[in-house]
Amino acid sequence: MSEYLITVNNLKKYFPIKKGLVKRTSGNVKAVDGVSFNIQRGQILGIVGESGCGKSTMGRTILRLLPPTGGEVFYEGKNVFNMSKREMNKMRTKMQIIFQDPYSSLNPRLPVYDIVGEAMLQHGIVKNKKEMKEKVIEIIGKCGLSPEQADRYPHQFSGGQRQRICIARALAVNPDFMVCDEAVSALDVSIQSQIINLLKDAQEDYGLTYMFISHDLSIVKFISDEIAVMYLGQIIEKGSKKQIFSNPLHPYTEALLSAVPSLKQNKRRIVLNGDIPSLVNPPKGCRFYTRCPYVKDICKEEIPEYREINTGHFAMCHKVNGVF
Amino acid sequence: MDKKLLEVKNLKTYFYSDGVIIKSVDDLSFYVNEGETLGIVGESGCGKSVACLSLARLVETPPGKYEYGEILFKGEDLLRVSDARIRQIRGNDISFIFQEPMTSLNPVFKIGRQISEVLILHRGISKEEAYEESIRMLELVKIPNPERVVNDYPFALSGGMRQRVMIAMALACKPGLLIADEPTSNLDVTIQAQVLDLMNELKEKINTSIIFITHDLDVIAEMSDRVMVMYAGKVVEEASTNEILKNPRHPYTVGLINSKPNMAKEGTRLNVIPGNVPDLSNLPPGCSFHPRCDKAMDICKRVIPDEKLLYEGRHRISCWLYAD
Repeated sequence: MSEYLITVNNLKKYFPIKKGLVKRTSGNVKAVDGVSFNIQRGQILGIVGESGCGKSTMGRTILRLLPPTGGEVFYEGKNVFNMSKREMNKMRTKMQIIFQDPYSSLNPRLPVYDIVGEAMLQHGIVKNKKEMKEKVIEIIGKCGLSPEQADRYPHQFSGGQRQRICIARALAVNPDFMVCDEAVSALDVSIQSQIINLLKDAQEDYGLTYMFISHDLSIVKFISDEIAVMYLGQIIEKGSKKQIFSNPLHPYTEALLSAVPSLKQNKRRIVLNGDIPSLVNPPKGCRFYTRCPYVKDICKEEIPEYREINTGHFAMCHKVNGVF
Repeated sequence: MDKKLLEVKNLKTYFYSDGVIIKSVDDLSFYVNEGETLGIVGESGCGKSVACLSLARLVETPPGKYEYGEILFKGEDLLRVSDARIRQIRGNDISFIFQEPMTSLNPVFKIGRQISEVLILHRGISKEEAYEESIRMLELVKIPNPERVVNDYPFALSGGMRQRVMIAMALACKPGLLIADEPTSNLDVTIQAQVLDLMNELKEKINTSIIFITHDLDVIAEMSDRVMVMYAGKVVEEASTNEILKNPRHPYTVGLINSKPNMAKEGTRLNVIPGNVPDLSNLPPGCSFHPRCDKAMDICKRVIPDEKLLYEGRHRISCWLYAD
């Protein structure tokens, strides 16, 4: 039954656009528009896509940090969206998130002790302040900070160290599932690799399951077991790391992979025309047709089916589905 | 024969604040040949941006101060020419593209007016001519519907389009030297690919030299002929792009290249450079990199290494490992 830790079913998140004095809804930004997938326990699912494709919104909606518009999310078979306040409060310890910007996600008025320990006290993981301090020192030690740093405030740390505090805070409540929302994007190159190693170690030590959101394909390739590619609020391709990188099916994935600059010089590159269309009025039919090099008439009319092409390898494209 | 367009000799740009001296650029020497692209790589705070701002005397003084050095551009020492002359050179002979196109465009003026301004000021042409020329420039950077965009405000354009407008402005007077400071770091990969292709194409067309600043080694590999690696205000290594990528010598460059996620083997940990980027107001004695260097020797902790030319002058390096 609980082979999958997380099951997402036709998840939707729309943001209404309000206009005028009476705030009439004049349209919707369809940030996430019908995505379904599973994550196996202990696996890392990488989510890639360009800015505005809805990857962060999806991560937050799954954790119920944003109210969903439609769909279901199951955690070990329990529907997260139907939970009562009390159940949800318990659930929060199981699901944690690490944000991109370690500067704005830490309270500048609290020392590390309280930042990391607050949730443990709140959820009754530790009984008193003394126990909390011991536990905090243990956890920040695992994250590469020294005990004397626990008295300091966020402004006294560098970006990489702040991200370590964020990770310690997330690990403090013994979660099973973690969403890393561009967790290393704001860091310097040499610090990035330190943090990625830390995340990977934490995953192995605590048996965590990650949803790793990033726009950086080389990082996603390194850390993930499975990869989902998002475009305009939909998952257009999903498969194992090997399937995606050695045999990309969707033309967008193909272009995305070829667009990544690399140390290997003079490789062939598919340059896409134009910009990403607006989420308010996404193209009818296949959402990618405005930029697709293989576009045919049918793509402009009919939405392609999201189909399993090879075992575990899904794609949403008329060309791949053999329609033309 | 290669002709030097720009030669910087022993430049020192320091900042004075609250009694602390921050040596952002410390004894930096380099040159750019005509028609060449020089890449400058380094992490945040290594002085790469300050070095380039210094080239057009754009560092605010005070708190900044040009302590020492010469900047020879077409035979003139830019540190010593009059204010009126440097204003002529900015935008005309040396122009800039910055990382964040939204903050470098004026939000309350139309695109056409902002490009025209450069042309009217430097070429002394009439308003109407400048308007026509603006449309031609927008066409050159491949903006669809230039006649419409010229009357748009910056907010109406996407990030990639804004960066194209910036390029159009920078190239309006056909400068000899274009300084691009992280021009694609904020863009999505597919848009980044478009902008990089465009820059390479225009470089041929207009025959300008480019200084390309970035923290991303992959982008450098695609763009530049020669690479200079900076650390804590100094050059640590400089050679042709091929040479740097294939035979990096300085431990910092080696660390940077090896810490890339796509260099790591499947299922292993990433190689890391331990420690943090140093504080420029409180640099360690000797080689600034020694606290993070795995090959540090006794002498590294005491004496700053000299720059050495190796392999018939093709490789410049500043490291005690390569002292005779």
